[in-house]
Amino acid sequence: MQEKSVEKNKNIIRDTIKLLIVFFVMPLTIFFTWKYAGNKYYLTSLILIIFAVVPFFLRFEKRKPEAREMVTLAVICAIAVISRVAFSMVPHFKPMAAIIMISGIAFGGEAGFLVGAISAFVSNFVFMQGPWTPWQMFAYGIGGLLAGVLAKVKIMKVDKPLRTAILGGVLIIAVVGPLLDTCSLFTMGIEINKSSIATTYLAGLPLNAVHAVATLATLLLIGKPMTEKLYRIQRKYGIMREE
Amino acid sequence: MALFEIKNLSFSYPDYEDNPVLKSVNFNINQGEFITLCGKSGSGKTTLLKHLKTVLTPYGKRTGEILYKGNRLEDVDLRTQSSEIGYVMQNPDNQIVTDKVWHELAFGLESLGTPQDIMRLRVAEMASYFGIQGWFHRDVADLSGGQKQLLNLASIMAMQPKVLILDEPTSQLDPIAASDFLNTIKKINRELGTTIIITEHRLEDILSASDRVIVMDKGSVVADDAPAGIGEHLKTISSDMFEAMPTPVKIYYEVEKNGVCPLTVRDGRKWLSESFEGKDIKVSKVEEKSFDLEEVTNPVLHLKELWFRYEKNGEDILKGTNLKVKSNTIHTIVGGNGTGKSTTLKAICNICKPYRGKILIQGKAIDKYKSGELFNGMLAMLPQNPQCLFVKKTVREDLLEMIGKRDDTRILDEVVRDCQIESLLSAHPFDLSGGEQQRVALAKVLLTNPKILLLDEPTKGMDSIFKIQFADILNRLKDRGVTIVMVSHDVEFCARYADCVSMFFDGGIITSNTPHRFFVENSFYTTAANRMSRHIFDNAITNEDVIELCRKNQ
Amino acid sequence: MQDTFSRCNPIVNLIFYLGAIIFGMIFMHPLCLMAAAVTSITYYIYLKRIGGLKVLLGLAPVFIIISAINPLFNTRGETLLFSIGTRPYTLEALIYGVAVATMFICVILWFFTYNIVITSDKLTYLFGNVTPSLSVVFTMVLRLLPSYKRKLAAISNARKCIGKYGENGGTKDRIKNGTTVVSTLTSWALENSIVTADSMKSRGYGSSKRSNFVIYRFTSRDIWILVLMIICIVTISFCGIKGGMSYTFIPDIDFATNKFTVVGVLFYFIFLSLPIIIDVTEDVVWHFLKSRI
Repeated sequence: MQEKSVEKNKNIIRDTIKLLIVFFVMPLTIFFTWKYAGNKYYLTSLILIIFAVVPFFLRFEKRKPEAREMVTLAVICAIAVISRVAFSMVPHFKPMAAIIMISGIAFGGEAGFLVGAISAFVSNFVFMQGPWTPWQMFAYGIGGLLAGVLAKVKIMKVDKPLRTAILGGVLIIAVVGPLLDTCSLFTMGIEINKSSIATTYLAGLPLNAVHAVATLATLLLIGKPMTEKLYRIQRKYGIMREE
Repeated sequence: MALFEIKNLSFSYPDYEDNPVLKSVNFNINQGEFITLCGKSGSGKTTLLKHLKTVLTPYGKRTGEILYKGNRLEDVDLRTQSSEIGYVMQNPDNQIVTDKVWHELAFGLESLGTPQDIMRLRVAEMASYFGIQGWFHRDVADLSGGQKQLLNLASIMAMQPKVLILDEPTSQLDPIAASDFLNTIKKINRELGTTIIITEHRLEDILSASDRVIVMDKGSVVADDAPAGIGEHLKTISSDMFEAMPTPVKIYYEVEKNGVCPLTVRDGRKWLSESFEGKDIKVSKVEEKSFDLEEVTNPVLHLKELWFRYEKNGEDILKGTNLKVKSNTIHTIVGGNGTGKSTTLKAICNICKPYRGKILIQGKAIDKYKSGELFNGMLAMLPQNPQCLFVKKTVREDLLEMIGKRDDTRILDEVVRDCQIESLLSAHPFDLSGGEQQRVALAKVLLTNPKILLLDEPTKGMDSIFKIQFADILNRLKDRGVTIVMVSHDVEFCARYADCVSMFFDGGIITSNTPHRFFVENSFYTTAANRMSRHIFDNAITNEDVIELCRKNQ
Repeated sequence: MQDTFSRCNPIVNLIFYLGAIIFGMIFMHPLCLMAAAVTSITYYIYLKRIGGLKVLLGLAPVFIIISAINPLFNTRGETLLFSIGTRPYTLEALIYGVAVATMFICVILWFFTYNIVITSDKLTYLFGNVTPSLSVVFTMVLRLLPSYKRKLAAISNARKCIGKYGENGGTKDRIKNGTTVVSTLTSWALENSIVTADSMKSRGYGSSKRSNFVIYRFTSRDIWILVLMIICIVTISFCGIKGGMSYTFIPDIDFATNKFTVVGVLFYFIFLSLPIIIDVTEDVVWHFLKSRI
């Protein structure tokens, strides 16, 4: 009995801390950076991103994932990161987002987010960490999350490869790409107004379009076989089931 | 008290209940024993071993029980099992979890929540015992296969297990690394008293150190005896497994017996000397198949002074390599690790492009072949890892990928028959055993209808029974006009089946000869049969040679 | 070979970089920018030697572009330089642009050295206790990458040798081939991952609360550096809040110059110089030791 009440107290404390963070620490940090910081846009957005990403990570930790789930997650992340190498003969072809989306479709939004965030983080380990790292983690995470959500409401579907691929392309051009552009807008520290925003997004459009086409092509070509492979493992070993 | 008691254990996988993998297995394992478990692939060895640790036990229908120190194994808690029962698996690569050597060493201890100071001590101890200090800070990716497997072992030994279970730990290693590894296992048993249960193809290295040998066939234990008596057992029940026994044992039981059964080459030599003591050796030579390499006028494959290095400022890997391969032969290239054998194969396949020298295929320079022409009906390579070739969901679809749109199933049927994979066609390629995967991959390669077939270490991880089947397939191909060039560490296989053997060393072919002349010249790099008999016979290199000469002289 | 600062405890490294990067993004006072520029460039050159100069030259155009672009979007300011169409291009905006560009380059340079100093095993150490499962996933990914890279090469070579891929195909063929290779890698990787999971479970993963093997020691030098850094951080923050580092660029240029500015900038400079001071001290000590032998 006593143990239970201790556990209960712990939970209450934990919840209070969470509430404090959301309603007190977050606004306060934003206020201070806004007031004192030179590059306030970047720092403020960074804090917001950390508050958005951390809950996903904490949920994963709290769940105490099984060994098989962790290995599968690591394998997908590593494939997402390394897939670029298989297309080194095709300039500007980035298949990472497509593989993140596939994992979102197969294992659900939360797993999609984790795969996106971890892959982005690790791929920066291969290339270079920079102020863009948190933003990329967030952008690719959101890509995986949205794919998972769209799959759950049956809009993205394995047996509708074309529709899924086009939606994947749209996600890149409408969500992931602009998020990454916002990062470059913020890190460079230039004044934010209508014209600078418009210029940034317009300048990013061609690259985002290429990225979207690459994602579309990858989803179209391996979306189905990859999902089948993930399902096969899931069936065989019962991993990453959403409650 | 026995450490493990296995009582009447039967097991079958779900959906295959009328075909049990284990059939009422009974035996005990005592503290400190060294037990070798053998049996051909599919005999249920691995399944049995996996039952000795609850987290690894496969799902299925099970009767009978396993006691660990007198308690039911399922009732022994996970923590105790994790630290006391160590399990080393076959593939060195897949068992490694982390990216640094030191982290991998500590992984098990971390999982058990060992306090920092104890962990430091254990890790330091293990690194010193296994000689890991030199590469303690390295990335796991930079290690050789032998080092990786040693790391796996050390990481388990750090938890101070009472019993060590090893499932074919050396099947993916080259011979030198394999015998180093097995020596370490023997040392652990001898110096620490750790109980060892091991399944292994390389019985030569291990039989003499074992206390007991248990032989399994089709899920049952067919023999359980001291090593000296196991050959007798197998001979009387004429089991296939006799083929896997070490050379001295096989020779001993094939000729008229006198004295005790020898287990090692050393004992074999002594036994032969005693058998022929005071007798005249009337015939000391077997007949050799021979052809003169100098006279190969029209080589199907001709390498002329190849020079190659991977990086501009790197070291040369190929240093003026020359090679002539006669058509319609099995030509093997042997030699140590990292000497450039695999690079030579890659050069022949045009994957590595030599910066000097020429490669002629049927007299035509390799760069004169148009793209697509070379690998379509001329040249093909079976990769070291057959899994590289599997793309589809079933074996049949995978094979059909090679035929393309032509609905010429006649050639498909023929290849399927040749490789004996009729029964596997609807299976998922990854659900097959290693040997079956090898045959499917070979079938896929053969569908390109090559005149020259290149093989990179094809016998790695094969058991001795499957090697014979594989050699049959190769001989049939040879009869049909295919030339086979193969890189191998497997001296015994080369001696028995090759037409020509070349020694690769330091970036070039040192010597090429027929197997008899080649191996007779060597005193270290040669077969067990030759090492055992060279003081009596002149040119016996295979077991059959020794047996034949023994019989002729009796 | 790692420099002396990199061989300090990772906590020391992490706190330094958190301080350098966050302060670097907050303080736009010209003296602060100068301190950051001098120290970040010196440390980068110290680590990369002559090779680093090339990279620095490569950053020059970025610096110029960011400086010049800012006035295009920010038309306020008092001193008109010229107009593009109807948009004024002012001196204040240009100077602000230079300040922003300096800030950007400094942060990038700190990240350049961060990539050398904070290696993956330091990160697993730092986050091993906070997020145990994620840090295991992280080290697994790092462990898989090199082996997958080799595997990819093996797969495409194997396919080449059965005539399934030529290098001369068009973009469409190349993309198709790439997807087949990735797909093969996936099957292989997923099947093999089961062995890895078994090996984890077999070594007791999940049977108890995990502890972390720490390969880094906390030496007395680390403690001294840490204390020094905390003193610097507190002083800098205090001076910042007191307005010692305040600035305005637009509409007209104005900087704080008071006692808080002097103390704040001094401590900021000391803080940012720490890695260089630590490295050079060690070099000097070695120099004397060597000359004595």
